[in-house]
Amino acid sequence: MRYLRALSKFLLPSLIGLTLIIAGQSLPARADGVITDLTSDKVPIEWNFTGANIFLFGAIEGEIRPDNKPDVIVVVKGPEKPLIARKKERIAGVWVNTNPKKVTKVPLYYSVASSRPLRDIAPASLLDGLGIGFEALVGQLTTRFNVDDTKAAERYAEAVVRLMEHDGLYKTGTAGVKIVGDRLFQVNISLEANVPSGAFTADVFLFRGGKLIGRRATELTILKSGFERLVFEFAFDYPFFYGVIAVILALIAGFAATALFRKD
Amino acid sequence: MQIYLPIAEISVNMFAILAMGGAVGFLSGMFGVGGGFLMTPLLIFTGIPPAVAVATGANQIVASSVSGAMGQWRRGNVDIKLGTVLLIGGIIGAVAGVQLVKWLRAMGQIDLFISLAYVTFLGVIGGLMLIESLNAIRRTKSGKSHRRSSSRHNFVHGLPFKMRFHRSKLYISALPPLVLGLIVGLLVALMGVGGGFIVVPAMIYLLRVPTNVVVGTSLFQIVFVTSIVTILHATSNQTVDVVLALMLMLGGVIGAQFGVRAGQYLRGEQMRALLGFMVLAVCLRMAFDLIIRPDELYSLAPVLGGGS
Repeated sequence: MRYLRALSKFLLPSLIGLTLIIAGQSLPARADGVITDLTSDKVPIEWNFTGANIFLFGAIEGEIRPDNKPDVIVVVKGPEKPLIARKKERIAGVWVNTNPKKVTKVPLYYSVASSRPLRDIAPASLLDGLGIGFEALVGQLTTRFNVDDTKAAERYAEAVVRLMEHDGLYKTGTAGVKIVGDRLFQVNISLEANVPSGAFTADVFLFRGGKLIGRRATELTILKSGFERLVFEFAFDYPFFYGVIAVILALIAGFAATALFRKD
Repeated sequence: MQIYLPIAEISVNMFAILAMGGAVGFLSGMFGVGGGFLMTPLLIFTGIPPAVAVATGANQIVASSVSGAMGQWRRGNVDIKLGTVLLIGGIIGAVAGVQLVKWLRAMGQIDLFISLAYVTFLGVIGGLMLIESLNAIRRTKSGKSHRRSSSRHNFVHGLPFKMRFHRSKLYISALPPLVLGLIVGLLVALMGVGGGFIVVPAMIYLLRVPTNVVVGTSLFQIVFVTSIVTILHATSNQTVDVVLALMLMLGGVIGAQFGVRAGQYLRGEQMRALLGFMVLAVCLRMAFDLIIRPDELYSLAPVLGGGS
């Protein structure tokens, strides 16, 4: 514990050492190689077919009284992009996309993890102001829709969150943050295979008695690697050659099949 | 085993996709049809975005038709001149079709368009197949047989720009094969089908091409048109999923081998009736998905070109 405390003195007032460890690797016994400054660190992650896991570690500094333990909330946000939301309506018996509405900025990934249910940690007004939780996110997205009718904009914003959650890109979990002992905490951030590459931020909030007592944001760049990513980038960077290669592969497959199953 | 499809952007079960490719390959081997009109709807039912299903379907047809085309070529069953006229039309149709897909995607209406196109086509073709084959079965049962009455001349012979097609022993206007090729190009680009189910009957009954040249010439055209559509879709829409296509090819190739063997035990009319039923079932399922209220009314899409 002493090394952590020593490090914490010069790193941060209330929180120290946000550390990312790539899933599959174990925590090294010594801290030297673990605690790094992650500002715009590039994080190459070995992606398998279903996604990747990132572990985020941290420690709480300051006095900890057993009767008034602090709470931790970690919000991870992905790169933002404009999107178009549409609503289906029945026209001539058939469900048709109508009313396209552009939303200027949508985070392509958003996850909230906390040591206890959000409502028990802090009042909704405080959480909304800090952009913590799906309800806060709906509020933010509502203002980003270019729609006069606030009620309609809110329905669109709710739909965005619902759809992103369905795709595994938005997550909320009350059991996400595990506090080990009194001071150390650990968050497991799972990234599905469809999570985009780009600049992410991990925002760690420390609450005590319903009040924000510390905050630390860390930027990290998620780089997807692996075969699928290669295919994706090639398809968008060199679309013509990608098409030509797709055709050549098909021709080879067709000829190989003929050669393989030839009767004579 | 779950595998992430990079362009479709969903995770699918690899064995389910292989099995699907195998099943469609089996049917196409058994019935002697391309199978694209079953493959694309099945991919859509699996959750693959329709635009990706169509473009990837075109890519898969390249593989499934090239060996047949080469075989026909070796036997001299390809009318290259007629095939080239069809191909020119096909290229025009392909360019127009791919642009239409691009525009419909930006408008957010591509899914609806593809579904409506399939419901219409499958409904008409499945219905005709079923009626025709059921009549044939009834005729064989009653022991009567009567030849299809066909007039020696139709409107095709009155059109200008006549060309001589030596291999087919025809002297006809270049317009009908050009238009036919154009329709095929559109079908490949918009629906991810080879279009054999339209070209073959049209060549036989409309252009009066000798039957021994029909299959080779249409396969010749299909290989080129599907290749061009694949490249065009990859370039303008980025909707060709190579990983998905390779799995479908692998399954399809194996399935087709067994399908051909199984097909030898079924009679022509029964096979056509069976295929007709299958086509209608897929059509009904697609129509059903259009009509019932979806669980989620909203949808999200990236900003492509237009939009408000």
